[in-house]
Amino acid sequence: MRGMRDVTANDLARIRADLAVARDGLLARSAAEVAEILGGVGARFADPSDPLRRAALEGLPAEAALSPPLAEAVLDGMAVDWTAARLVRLLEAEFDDPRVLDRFVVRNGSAASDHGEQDGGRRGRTVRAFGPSLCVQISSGGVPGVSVNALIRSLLVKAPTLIKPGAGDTLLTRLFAEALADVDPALGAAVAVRYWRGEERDVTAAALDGAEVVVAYGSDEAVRSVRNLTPATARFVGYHHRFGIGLVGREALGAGVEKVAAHVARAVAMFEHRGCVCPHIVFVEEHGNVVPEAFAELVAGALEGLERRWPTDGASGGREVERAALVQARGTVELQEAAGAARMLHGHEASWTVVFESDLVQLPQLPGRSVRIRGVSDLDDVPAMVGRAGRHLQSVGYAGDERRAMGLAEALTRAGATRIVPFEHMSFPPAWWLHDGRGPLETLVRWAEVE
Amino acid sequence: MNCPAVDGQLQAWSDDDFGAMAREVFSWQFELCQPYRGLCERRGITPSSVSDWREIPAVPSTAFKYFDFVSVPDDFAGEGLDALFETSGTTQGSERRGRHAVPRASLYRASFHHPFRLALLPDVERMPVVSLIPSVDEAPRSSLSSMVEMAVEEFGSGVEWLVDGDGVWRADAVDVLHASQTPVLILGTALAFLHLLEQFAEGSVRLADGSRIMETGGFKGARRSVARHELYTSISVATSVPEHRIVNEYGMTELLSQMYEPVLAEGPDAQGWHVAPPWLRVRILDPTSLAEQGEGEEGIIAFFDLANLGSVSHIVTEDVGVIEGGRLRLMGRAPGSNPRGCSRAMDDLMSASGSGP
Repeated sequence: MRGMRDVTANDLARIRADLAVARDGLLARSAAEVAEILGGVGARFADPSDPLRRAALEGLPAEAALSPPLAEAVLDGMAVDWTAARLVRLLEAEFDDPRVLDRFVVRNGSAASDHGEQDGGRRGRTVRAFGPSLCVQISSGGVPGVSVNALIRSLLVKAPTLIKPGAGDTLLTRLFAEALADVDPALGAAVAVRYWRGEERDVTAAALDGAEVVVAYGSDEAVRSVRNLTPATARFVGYHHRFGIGLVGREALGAGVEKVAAHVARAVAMFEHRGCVCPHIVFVEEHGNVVPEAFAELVAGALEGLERRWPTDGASGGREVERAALVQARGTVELQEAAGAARMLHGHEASWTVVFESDLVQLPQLPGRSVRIRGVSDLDDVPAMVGRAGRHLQSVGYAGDERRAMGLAEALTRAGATRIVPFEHMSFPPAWWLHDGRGPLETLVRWAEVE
Repeated sequence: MNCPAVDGQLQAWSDDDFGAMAREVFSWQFELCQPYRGLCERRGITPSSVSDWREIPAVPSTAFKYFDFVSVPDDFAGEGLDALFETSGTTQGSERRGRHAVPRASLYRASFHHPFRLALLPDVERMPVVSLIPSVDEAPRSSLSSMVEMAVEEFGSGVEWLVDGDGVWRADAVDVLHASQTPVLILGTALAFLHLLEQFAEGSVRLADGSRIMETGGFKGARRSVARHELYTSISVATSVPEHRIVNEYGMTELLSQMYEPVLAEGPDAQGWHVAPPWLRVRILDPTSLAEQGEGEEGIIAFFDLANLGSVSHIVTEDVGVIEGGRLRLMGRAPGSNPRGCSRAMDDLMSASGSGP
């Protein structure tokens, strides 16, 4: 249930003790074996005949405030990465030889135990990677499936994990953990899924006690709050607020421009604008065959079309407080329109909104499925605009000449972005993506070396 | 035109009387406030086209963060504003603040006086005030501080300021309450009362009978969410002021008029229902169509405040509520409708000098 607390500060000592016991069971397995088991559970979420998927699809719309068709699209997109093959590939992408999670390995050589000794240090370093003895993950609720990803990452590095899913993301996390416990009790015992409200700082503080690694997702404020409660002996990994932008070059504004607009619309709609992978502002180059304002109209048309496929109604139609926020934002944009600085296109019953900005304008955060579109004379000007926003910039969607992409990528990543991606792949980064600039597994482990 | 009396018992104004004044106010604001006029013209609405005050365009309260709505004649420019209020931000300052210009404080004072008397001092002329809200010297941009200052001037027989502009409490805050022998009026926000309660860790204070409390600010933006009932019970236990002598005030920086729950005059049954003065009209709008909702139907709260003469009077808020029997019940506000850190990050991006058209 959304918002229901199911743990107290006192319960946490027992949970910690149980997880400590479960660590031996985890360490007795190979990383490859763990990936195999997790992948077996994950694949069930993609199988239409599986009751696990059906349970997920039944509860997801209400909990995540997504319409049922969009909830299904989100689950499909997420579950792609929950298969054994993808998880093995994730391990390989991060560790070259994932056996380093199982025992000491001579880097660039075979496992040390195969030979029992090193070759005078010339063959490489004898190293081993350990997941934390206790990993505490404080996740956020905007995008369902993020907490399952967090859980998978922990277990792949064999870290017993206490996870607090986001308020809108408890269902998938619980279903995954329960299914895991069914198929493999030893692995299942290494996971505790508990929910409490972020404001209950006493519970958070008690949860972090004894952690070797603390991972926090969420707004800057939420991440700061967890960081301040993290013990000095624990490593802190923070995934603070991020947002995406988009770049459309003039080469993409000729034949096929409708397709580009459709890709932009899908990237905007996929998580109802909640994700760091959603483009919040799209910069469109001037002097193409289609002018930026016309491109904004195409995106608006695509969003209106998506309304039939993925309705917004689950997102905000029935929620008066969210609708009130939309009224505030649209009303403020209308004042900018009256001042000649912007033009707004929006759904009526539907909550999608496109704002085309003809001048530098400041706007409130547009809630729901929405995007701001601005013309620029040259895409090369965009990196210089990023400025301080670089600390919050993550994904950059791109459509245009591929030869220009590398130059733009250099400048944009220098400014803070960590991911340049075609719009059509923007919503679902692969499991092995450099999440906010770091390998998601590598950032969890502690290395050890025998010299 | 005939101006309905503002003093006395605050009799309700007829819709005709209110509407006539509202249209006159609209003409003034349409003429003098450029961003507002732009919005009205865009919608094809002018003072001469309006037959009912409800047709007058409303601005969202959020827009006070992005536009300066000032309705003053050109020859006013040299005289300066009497006040410029700002909405409170977070301690990190990551949120943009709304600004409300007040050309003439006299109207603000006039709209404050009688509703406050009726809600807080229906039975006595003056009483000692204890403020958990900083003074105007400490917080010159706070409309709430300004209001408390007016309360002290017009209804106070002495005042103790317990909190400074940085939110730091006087070391002897609890002693001040212990020392009071006569009935006092305590003014504070919900958050301030939570802080005060923490200082009462050892027992409570017995305030003289006839003491009363005004609580405002609700829990908007507060990190700790404690149910209101829980808060009032705790305050009552700590101070021995009965729960039904705690008056909730509903106001906002963007409005110069205030609403109160008339519990002192009417008793506990009035709890939870706010009363507007005659020059402030409250409506509930459907969240999607923005059509006016009927009695008892939940929706977005909109105000037409004649006291806002110097800015814009018709305002749609982000609060949700319901009206019954002419009284307003507050239901809530979009939680985190503006994710912190996010809006500022976007501001950072959009304020950079890009290529203009």
